[in-house]
Amino acid sequence: MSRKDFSKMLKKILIYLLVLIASVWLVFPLYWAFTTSFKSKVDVFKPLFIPFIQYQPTLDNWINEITLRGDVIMTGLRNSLIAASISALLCTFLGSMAGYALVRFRFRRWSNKDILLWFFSLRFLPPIALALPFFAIFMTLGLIDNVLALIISYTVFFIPFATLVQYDVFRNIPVELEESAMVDGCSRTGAFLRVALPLSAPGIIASFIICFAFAWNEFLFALVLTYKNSITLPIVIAGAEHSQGVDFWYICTRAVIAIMPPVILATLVQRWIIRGLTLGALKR
Amino acid sequence: MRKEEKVKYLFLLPSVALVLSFVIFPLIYSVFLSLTNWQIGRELSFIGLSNYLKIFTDFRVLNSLEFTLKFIALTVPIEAFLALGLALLSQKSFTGNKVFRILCILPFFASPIALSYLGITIFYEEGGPLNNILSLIGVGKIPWISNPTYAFLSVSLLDIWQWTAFLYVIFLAGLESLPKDIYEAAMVDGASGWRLFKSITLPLLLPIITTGVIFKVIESFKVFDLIYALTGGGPGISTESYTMYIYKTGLRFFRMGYAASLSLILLIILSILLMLAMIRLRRVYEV
Amino acid sequence: MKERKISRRDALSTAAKVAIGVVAAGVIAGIGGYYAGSQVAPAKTVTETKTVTAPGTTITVGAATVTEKVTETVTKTVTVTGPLTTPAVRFEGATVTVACMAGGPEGPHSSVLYYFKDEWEKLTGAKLNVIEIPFGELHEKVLTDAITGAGVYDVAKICATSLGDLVVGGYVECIDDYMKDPRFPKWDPAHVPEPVRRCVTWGGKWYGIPNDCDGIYLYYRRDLWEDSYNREEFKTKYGYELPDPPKTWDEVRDCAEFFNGWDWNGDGEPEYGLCQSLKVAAQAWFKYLAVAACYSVLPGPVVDRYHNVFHFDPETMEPRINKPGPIKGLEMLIELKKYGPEAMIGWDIGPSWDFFVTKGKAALTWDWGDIARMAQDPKRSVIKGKLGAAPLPGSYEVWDEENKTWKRFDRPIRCGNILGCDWFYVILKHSKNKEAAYHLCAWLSAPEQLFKTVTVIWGSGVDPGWRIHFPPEISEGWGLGNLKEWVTVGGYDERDAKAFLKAVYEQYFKSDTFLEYLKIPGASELMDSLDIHINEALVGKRSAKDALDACARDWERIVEERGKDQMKKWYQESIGYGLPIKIKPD
Repeated sequence: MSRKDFSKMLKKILIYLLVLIASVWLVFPLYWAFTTSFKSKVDVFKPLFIPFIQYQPTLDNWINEITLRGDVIMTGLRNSLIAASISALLCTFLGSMAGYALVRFRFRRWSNKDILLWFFSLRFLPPIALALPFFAIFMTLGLIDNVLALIISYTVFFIPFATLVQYDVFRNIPVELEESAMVDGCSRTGAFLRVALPLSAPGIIASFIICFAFAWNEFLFALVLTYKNSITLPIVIAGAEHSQGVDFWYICTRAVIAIMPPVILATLVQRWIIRGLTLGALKR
Repeated sequence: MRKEEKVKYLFLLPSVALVLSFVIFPLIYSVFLSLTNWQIGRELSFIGLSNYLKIFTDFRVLNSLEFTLKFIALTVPIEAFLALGLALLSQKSFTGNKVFRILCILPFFASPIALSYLGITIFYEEGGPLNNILSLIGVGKIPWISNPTYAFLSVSLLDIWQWTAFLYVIFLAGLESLPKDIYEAAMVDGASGWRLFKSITLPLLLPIITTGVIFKVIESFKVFDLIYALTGGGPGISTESYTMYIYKTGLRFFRMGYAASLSLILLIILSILLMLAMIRLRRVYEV
Repeated sequence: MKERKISRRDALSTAAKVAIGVVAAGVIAGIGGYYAGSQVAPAKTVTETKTVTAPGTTITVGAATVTEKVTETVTKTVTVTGPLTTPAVRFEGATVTVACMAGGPEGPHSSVLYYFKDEWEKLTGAKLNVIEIPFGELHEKVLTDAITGAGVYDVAKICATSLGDLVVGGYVECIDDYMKDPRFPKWDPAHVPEPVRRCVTWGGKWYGIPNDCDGIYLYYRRDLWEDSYNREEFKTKYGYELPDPPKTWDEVRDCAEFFNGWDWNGDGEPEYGLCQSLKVAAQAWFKYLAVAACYSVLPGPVVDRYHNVFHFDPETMEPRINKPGPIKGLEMLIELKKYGPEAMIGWDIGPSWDFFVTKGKAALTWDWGDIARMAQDPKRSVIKGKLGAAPLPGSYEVWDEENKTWKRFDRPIRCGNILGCDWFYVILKHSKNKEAAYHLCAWLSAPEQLFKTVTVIWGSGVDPGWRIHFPPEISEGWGLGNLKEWVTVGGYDERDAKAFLKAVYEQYFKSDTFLEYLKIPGASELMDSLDIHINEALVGKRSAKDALDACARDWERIVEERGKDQMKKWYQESIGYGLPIKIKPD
């Protein structure tokens, strides 16, 4: 084996080693939630890692969840999906437009930098400061305990992420491509929709993922703005604690349920990333 | 050209209008509330800036800010480093690359509340999985929750686990959107590996790395759900974050005036920090 | 006003209909096989209609087995069995929305509502809408709903800490008049322990319909105490008989030390003397108050400036948390901490209960009534049949603030108390269905429902404390309960049930004084301050005295900020200042 091949093989081994260590680190808490959801209540506080070998798994927790709390969990799941996906879509779309505008256009009233900073500053306020005022606003609009209130709130909160990520992504897209499209007769908006936006696919994916995840896990406003019909999964998860302590086994089942849609989402999105890459192969 | 000028507003306005219309009233209301001492069973009365003066002598404010700053100093660099490493690793080709990318994203979707409760079982000192493994390799039982220093570490560990994924997503998007032709040109010139990274990748990535880090710092000031179930802010108040204190003041003690002033102080602190950062980083953004 | 007049007339005519209906039904029942329905022991009707099931299974109450207690204008309780006839009052089409802790159909407090939902809906024609709220956020949601005027909840099952905020803000309905109204199900205020009564009243008026009796009791491993080897060793080491049960905290300390650090259950690992949940922002301050109360609250016939008060001086609002009594309590807690696992500082009740009941690795603890229930669950307990229980230990010495000295007694003075939330129902003023709401709450707290709640509903989270719960044999003949019920229906081990119920009875009805539950607005903030300062002392950051001094300064600041005069007035109202206390039942 030549020296070059040997060092190549070494690099490969190193990569796989790193990937393995990283994977164990990434997976462990989720694995722990998964196995603990199959443990009987007495086993929750014991160091038991492998089912069947170290402990006897049981379906009790899952059966209880489905029969007793199935409707509540489905409500939470449905509302979370609706609120998170719609708000993430809105964020990504509106944020892409805003990010694009800040890259391609020059604003005169307020400088682009100031507008950028303003978007950052939206993240400064702790949610608690907005909780009661938002409640008052939505009460006036008659949207208390309505998923629409959550959709609006999440879009408002998480637009900065989409805007700024897309801003960075658009900056790396050479303006010549759009200019050539416009020379061919495209309008500015057309150039945006047909040239720039598709090329920013990685940014779109990233924005969507981030906004979706934030909305998916958001707790405070879901708590304040909902009562029963529009509760989301985080509220259902928090409901596993009561006056007799925390039902850790139900935390685990609900954590597993809560991670499922994102896993499916991420799997689907993977294909788009690859597609976006091949589409976005740039040649000057 | 004139048509251009009109169009730019079309792009920017929807976002700005949406946000402004929902945020402007709460903001004004918060400012107004912070100048009062509104509590339950009590008439609203103006007390001017005394809420703000109280903040300076409130030991819990100072304590929570100290915790938050230490927390940021520990977690953000580690997360940025790990996220960058994972993003670069994800770019290499190996079997299972797709699955690996999904794994890297997953932590960010885990509910922080569930994670915090889960942490109680993972960090359980008398026989949880972590201490079990540590005992097996000879380190012994670590007081993850009952000791202030280790409680700080366990909270940081949870945050690192979850938020590395956030930065990973951003960094990966940046890496994937780098213009490939520059790479091809450089490699033709004979550059490879570390040099390639240092002189080409890193400078091109700097803007998005900065964006990610700035966001994470801002979000760190607001860490709450992750900590609350695991340590409750304890032992004592050693892991009480600033937002936790605001939450308690506002929605537990219902001292809305003071809570509003605490929130606005955070706004001011972060604005100053961002201004300072921008002075140094203006070049990065080239605006 | 007009409403009241009509309802009185209505009541009279309905009462007449009821009287006729009752007589008719009674005749039918008498022919059909008369049940002991005319006795004053409603528990017996429960026996008749019950199907004995194993613990942990859900029991559905079919229409045929529903018992209805009907109160006539004459205050005699008559129980009717058989299918429902016309109930006293109906609320067709009304919906009562109840906010309660999230627990699902089998979890604490919410299970009670789900269990009785169908029965009550059939009884009154109204609808019951249960809205569950995560436990930690119950206070915020109810208060936000009231403050903002959203008005979604009609009834809330709240923690006593919240009562002050709600009363002072004018958000809850005073129920004095409802209690006198004969149309509604009757629950006897004289049957609740004094501490519970104090929790649900404010300034002498009733605001809450009591339900739960949330107290902390001492639990210990009866099997260890009964082991003659242990008894001999203890006597040799400490010079006195192993106290069964321990009557002072010094005795608890000795027992904890004795059982700490060696393998007394044969599992190959050393066990601990005690375990406790001392995590901040969780239960630590409850557990501290349980220890500190007996050193700090001086018994007396009336709630006056120096007797039967704990937190503040009622005349000056000076905090009393750093007086020698509470300090001694904290020092004792720090001492006791030595005999349990170090991880206790970070334990909420989950790990602590797991340690005592599921793992069985601690000899004693002091905790809520839920331990007794949990210990009976074969799926989660290794100590069924081994549970000893006692009222919280007392002290020979109590700090006398008036004379600034320790007052010595010739027997341990016990401070019985409600320390927990004492979950009870309140009716929110903005409700549009107040009468239906009150009917629901009163019905749920009526004797049969209440007895079922603590025995049949396995996960109800409601603790016993009413007269209906205690078997006469452990309550000096005063109780109206039935020990057999607890065993066959509740699934308790008989000795465990006896020990537990005796402990509860003695704690509520045979103590010398009680610790008032702090309910004034700002109670959360005051207790939060106490909580973090205790924690500092427990981790060794400060001495007990310094920690409590810091706490007292904090309390002064909080009182100042909220308005000292206002707080003083509220404090006096909340503790029933000037009113006599009555611990022993008639």
